[in-house]
Amino acid sequence: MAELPVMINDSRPPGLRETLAEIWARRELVLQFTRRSVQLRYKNSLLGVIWSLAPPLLFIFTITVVRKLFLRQDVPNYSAYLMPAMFAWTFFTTTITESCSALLENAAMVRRIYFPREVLPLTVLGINLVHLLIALAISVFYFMALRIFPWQVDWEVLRLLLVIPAQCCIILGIGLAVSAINVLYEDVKYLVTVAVQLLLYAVPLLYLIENVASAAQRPWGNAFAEAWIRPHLVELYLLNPFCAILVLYQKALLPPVQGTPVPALPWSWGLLAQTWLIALGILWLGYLIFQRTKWTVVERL
Amino acid sequence: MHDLPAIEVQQVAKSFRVVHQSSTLKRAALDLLRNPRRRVDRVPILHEVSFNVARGEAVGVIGRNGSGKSTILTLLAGIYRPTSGRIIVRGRIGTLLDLGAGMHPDVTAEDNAVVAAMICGLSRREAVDRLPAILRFAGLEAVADTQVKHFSSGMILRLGFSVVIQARPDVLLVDEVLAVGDEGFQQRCRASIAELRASGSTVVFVSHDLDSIAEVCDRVLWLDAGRIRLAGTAAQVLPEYRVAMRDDPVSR
Repeated sequence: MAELPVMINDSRPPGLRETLAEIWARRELVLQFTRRSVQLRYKNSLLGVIWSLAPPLLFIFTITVVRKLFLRQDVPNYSAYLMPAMFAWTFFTTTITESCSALLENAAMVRRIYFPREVLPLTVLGINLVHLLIALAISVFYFMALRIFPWQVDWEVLRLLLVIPAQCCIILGIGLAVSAINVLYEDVKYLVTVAVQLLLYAVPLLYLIENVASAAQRPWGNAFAEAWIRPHLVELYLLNPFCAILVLYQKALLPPVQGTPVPALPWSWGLLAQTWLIALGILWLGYLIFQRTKWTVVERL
Repeated sequence: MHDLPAIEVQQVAKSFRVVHQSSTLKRAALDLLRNPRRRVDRVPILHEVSFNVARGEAVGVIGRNGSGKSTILTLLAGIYRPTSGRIIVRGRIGTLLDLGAGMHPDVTAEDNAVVAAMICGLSRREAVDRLPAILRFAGLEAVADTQVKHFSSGMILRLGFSVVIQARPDVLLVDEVLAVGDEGFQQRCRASIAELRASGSTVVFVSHDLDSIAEVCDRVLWLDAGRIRLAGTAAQVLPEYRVAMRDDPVSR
């Protein structure tokens, strides 16, 4: 007779190790849920996955045209540098926004069946990761069409495989937190939407990190900014993990940009390490919030 | 291990926070400004309930609406944490707490059955292997690729029940839902619960249908306002319960 699983349910919720073991034991369920939501989303739509790509592609097109019209000498192939960053950005924003309703949308199920609740935000991450990979494949074709890919050292593209998991950690941390908090306070979803819109201007999409670096070379006038911010502007800017991830995408996939006011910044392993640290911190914090609230949340659904 | 009870409920109490209105961050901030030391109201639903269920035993839980029957099942299923006390459940748990819980209306019967079986703890492989048996038992082979939203409540019940039975849980938790089925299906449900028990599974069954309770259960717990009022064999508890309900001013 196989050993029976034992469930102990008391007022002390299970800790990290038990939770992780449980999720690992249910990994097939995560996959199955993901498969189901992919099918559901595209079953009745003719163009299927295209719809997930249309908004970022339109965005890329618009930004490129605007820059072409209003900047006298633009960076050659700006759209190529924009593309992976935009897809990475869309991965951030859609996953985080959709995570807000991950628990609420499945309230009927959560209230009546036990399974690790973390599965639901994980599923949202899963489906959007599929979109990201499709989008990146498209980007590669675009680079080839522009003849900037493959460039001299192809295997360097594989550095991206170290960036995407860090991004997933950031998204999952935030996703866990907002999915639980949004049940307790229903307006969190709107706050997240606004925050995402504002953050658009803080990340390098409309401009490149090299533009930030060149801004650091001009005097600013303000004494405080001169002393504390300007000398470290790029470092401070890249402390924002959203910015760092987008920059890492560009540096991992594409040759150094040309035509920028300062020479192209190189790929940086230090930045990767720093971003991983921040990502793990965010994941840990998000997990703590989820862990602390998930049992209350179930009762409030 | 086999001598240990399948379910131990040790002085379990459960209370819920009272939620007066759907809350927003704005409201929370305002409340914090107005009255920073606000006390949270809690409604007790269960008061230090204790009981054991032996392996292979079937226990019925009866009581008025709001007596805590469903809360006990929800706690046994691991969905809620108790406010105090401890519950130990030994074995794989199968739950039937709601009609079509976990089923997605836009998904076909087959796909829903696979997911539901996986939630019951089967691997994807096992779930797919048992799919024909599940559909046969539910009598839904002909509509296996129909979306569940086109099903009647009876069909959804059959599918849900069939999944749980074919998943062969060690501990089966059933709430009320079976009442939706017609007489023929209810008989088959009782038969398959009996069969599951014969193979060593444990059953906890919540119902207002005292005849089903008498037929399925060895032992009955009578819950009254979150406490066990009487526990014993069906023959001991049910007559007393009937008398109490007849004289009860609320239900009259």
